[in-house]
Amino acid sequence: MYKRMSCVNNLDIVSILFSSVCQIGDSSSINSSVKVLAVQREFPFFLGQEGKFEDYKVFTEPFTPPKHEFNKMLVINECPAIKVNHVKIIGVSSSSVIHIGSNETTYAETRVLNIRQLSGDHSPPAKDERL
Amino acid sequence: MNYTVVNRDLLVGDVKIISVSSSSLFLVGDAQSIILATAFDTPAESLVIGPFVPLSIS
Repeated sequence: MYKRMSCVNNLDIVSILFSSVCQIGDSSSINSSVKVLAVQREFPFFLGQEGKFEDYKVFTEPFTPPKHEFNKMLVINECPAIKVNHVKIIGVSSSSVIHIGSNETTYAETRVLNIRQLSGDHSPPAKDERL
Repeated sequence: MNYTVVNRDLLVGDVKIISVSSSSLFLVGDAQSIILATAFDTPAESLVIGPFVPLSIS
């Protein structure tokens, strides 16, 4: 397939994190995935080895990818380039993709579970009570 | 289904984005196939009020 050239004069990204990709140039296939178990506690006690992804449905249920609807797509590129002057992005996160150039297939998957633990009227556990 | 696309001149000035997040894609170029999926879960049982109980130890 004949593809166009991408011209970006200036690209300014502050941060890229959590299995994100910044690709400059053509690519054939990009697969990125991330699983996030976000635990917020009223008192910041974390044991380090806590939490199993298998315990939660959101991490194990498969996604069903949609079917391709356009079987025959004809593309006529009258202009050989896409021109962009300036791109400024502050944050790229959680298996996102910044792509300058042409691409065949992109697959990105994110699974996020939030848990909030509040102590209510209970005071935080003493140091020796922790595991 | 037959589908025809005619790409003429494309000239963009400035693009300012605060955040690209959770399986999003910012693409300057052409693509054949894009599949992006996100599952975000905050069920009722995700709010725990009570004494400190650690999650299962892995």
